[in-house]
Amino acid sequence: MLGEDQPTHYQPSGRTFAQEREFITKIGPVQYEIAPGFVPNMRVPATFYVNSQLDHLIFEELEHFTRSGGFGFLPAVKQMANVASLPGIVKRSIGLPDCHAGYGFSIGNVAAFDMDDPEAIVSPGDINCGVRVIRTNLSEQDVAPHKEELAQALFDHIPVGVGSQGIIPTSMDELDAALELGMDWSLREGYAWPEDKEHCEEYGRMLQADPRAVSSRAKKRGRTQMGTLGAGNHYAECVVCVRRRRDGALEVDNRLQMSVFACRVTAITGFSLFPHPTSRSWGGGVSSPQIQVVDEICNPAAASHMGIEFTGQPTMGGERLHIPSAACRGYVIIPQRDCLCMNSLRNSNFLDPLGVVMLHKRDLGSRGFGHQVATDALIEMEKAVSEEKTVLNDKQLACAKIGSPIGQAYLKGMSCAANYAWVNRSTMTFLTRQAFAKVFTCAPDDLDMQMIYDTSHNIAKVEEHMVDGRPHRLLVHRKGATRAFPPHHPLIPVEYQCTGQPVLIGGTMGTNSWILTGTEQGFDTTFGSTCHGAGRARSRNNSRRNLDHRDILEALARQNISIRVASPKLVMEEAPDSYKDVNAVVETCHQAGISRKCVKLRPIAVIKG
Amino acid sequence: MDLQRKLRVLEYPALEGFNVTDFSCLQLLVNWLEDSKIRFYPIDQRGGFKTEDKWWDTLSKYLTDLECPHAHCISAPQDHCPEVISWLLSTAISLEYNDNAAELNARSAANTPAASAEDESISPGFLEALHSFADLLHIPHTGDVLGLLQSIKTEIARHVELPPERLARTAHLHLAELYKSKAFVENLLTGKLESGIRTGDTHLDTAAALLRLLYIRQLREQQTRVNNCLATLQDATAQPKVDASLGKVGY
Repeated sequence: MLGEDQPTHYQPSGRTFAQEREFITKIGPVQYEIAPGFVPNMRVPATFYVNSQLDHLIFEELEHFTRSGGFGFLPAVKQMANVASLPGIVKRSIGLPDCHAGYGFSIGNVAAFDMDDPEAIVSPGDINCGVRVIRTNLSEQDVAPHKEELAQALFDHIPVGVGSQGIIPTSMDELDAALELGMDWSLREGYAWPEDKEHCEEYGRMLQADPRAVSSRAKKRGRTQMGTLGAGNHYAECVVCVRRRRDGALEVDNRLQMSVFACRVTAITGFSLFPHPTSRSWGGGVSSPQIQVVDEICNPAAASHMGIEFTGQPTMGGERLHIPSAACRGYVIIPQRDCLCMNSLRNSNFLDPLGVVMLHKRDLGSRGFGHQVATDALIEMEKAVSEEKTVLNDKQLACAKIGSPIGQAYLKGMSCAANYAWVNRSTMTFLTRQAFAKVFTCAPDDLDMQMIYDTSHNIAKVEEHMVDGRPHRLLVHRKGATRAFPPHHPLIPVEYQCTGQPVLIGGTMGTNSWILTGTEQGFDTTFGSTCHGAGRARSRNNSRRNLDHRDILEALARQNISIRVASPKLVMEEAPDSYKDVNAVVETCHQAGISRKCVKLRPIAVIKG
Repeated sequence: MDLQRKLRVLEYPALEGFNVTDFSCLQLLVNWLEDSKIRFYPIDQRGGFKTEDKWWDTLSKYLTDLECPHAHCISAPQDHCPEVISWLLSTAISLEYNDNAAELNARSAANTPAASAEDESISPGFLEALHSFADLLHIPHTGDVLGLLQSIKTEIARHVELPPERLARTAHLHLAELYKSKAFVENLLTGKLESGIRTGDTHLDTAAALLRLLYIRQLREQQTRVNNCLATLQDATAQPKVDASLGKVGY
């Protein structure tokens, strides 16, 4: 991730590993606390969540660092502690189970800064990488014969890989409008459905966006990349859940219904547009869409909410919410008719054949555009830090006071980048719907390709949280973390009021992905945040040196996963072995109570840039 | 309930056992109202009320003369007894008040300080919420908090005629029908989905969960209206286009 391949020079503490380790106390079954003093100037403690399967990665990294005398990569624990020393931070700096070393902030680090504290800062970083999930009414059985065709169609429709360019014609004026309007632009132009907006964090638009705060260089990069997947750990995937047969006649049995909910086709594609604002060129890796099957339902009640109730038979409405959206027109490449797929559904032995397409887009957020916005901000902020003589533990933690002109300009530019990321994800959703429509000769509307949710992974947002028993306005930085708001929070869509916000966790190529839900406990302890993915276990360079891309592709083929790859040699960077075990990461979050397991998914097709 | 209160205000002597559907009760009341409170006709013209035969016709004419705003009541008062009586009682109260306004206002003013002293222990937030609740139920409010609470209780009791257990079950069925998903309602009420409120009192928790359901439904309807509105606008603006020649995969 951001700057991970760049060694940093850091003032060594002169302590041994054992001495460093004394600052870190286990305070719960899966929770550790880093006491002030671990690094200079800590204003609050830092805390991180890992279980016994993951903790060695954290401590080995620290041990390696102390042995090297403080040179080389700064370990994640040191970075978390450094964040705890930033002005205006409240409560604690939080490391999530997928936490690993990043640029300044560690990836998987959450910190909140008091908006009413004039000293409080904002720090730039990746902007609005994210994941979105779209469901379909297809079953795994329906998809199986078309799997290769579908993977190819997705590959053809969504330009992938380093330097890819989108197929949506966009002028500079239109780009400005998109930056300002976010998903409202997609909606206006017909690339998105009204329900997409309803099911997106922030309704797909940050209102403080001001395109004037964005450099023309960034815009130039952004214009041609709209609707492209990108590379790096950006990928799209489809996940399908395995359906169970219904025995005999229809029974009104909750358990039976729930298990049927587990039987939906889901496809996950992850897109995040903003690589890291470092000197590393953006998109050095590979992007991959995947098709997965649902493996396990952990919370049937909540799972049913994300599937059946929101598609054909909404829990709230009674009748299906069929909206004669103009946007649909553009999607219908092939005239609507009773296609094979629909017939097979009708004759199916299964109860309620309902599918889900999950688009998971990780580094496909704001792409070159977002990278440029963050880089521009970083340069400005580094200048400001040296002018104001702000003492920072790590020069990578460049930041500016929230209220300062630079801080405000960054927030406006960041909002533009976030809007661009949503437009990009919406565009890819449009293209995915088109790909499905082509393969199944059926309008996306008839495939019920509704979006379940869209979560952001890297963004700073103003939110209200309780601090010392009173509500405070905080600027919550989530670097490689997902917002996970609890049930009945006013900012989550009406469907999820009783389940909590869906949290979409993309795994890696060939591994599971997850849907979790937010909890009240998470809202209290982690500012309503949870993990965002597997988290790197080894750096990209390390992966390139030690893994062979052919082995990885063969391993995927053995699992009966369809693969489309634009840059095979970059596959090893994103190989499952380069990452932590996503199941362990998710299990830790579940155990810590900061989010709840809901649905486990397994890939059946992968598309990488 | 409404009639009883008005009768009490007027200090009607035959309050006990008054029944609006009983002709003799009605006759007695109307005669009493005209004789002692309204006094619209001179005494010698009140004869029509004394005879049973033409009593309804007399009442009809009486209402016309009084300029009763409810035309349908005037033409056939016998079919609209509660409304007619309620209006007559209100008229009587209004006249009574006009006759004794000065005295009544003075009495009310004397009571006010006592009421506000009592209110001091009540937070303004609570009062505000109570007043908006009372407004919802169309209950006028003065400074008397206790009285207002009692009125609210009475008003709610009017609507809720079932014991709590039966009410919960009925509401449950009703909502299940409303949501077309028994499972959703079940899940919420049994705690598989969170209602967000746990008090330890089952009845209270059920009530809270039911309120949640109603609120969510209302929210859903509103969101659907917004979505429909956006879809309508899209008809005018949407023109998605794709140019495959612009596409470029990889380097």
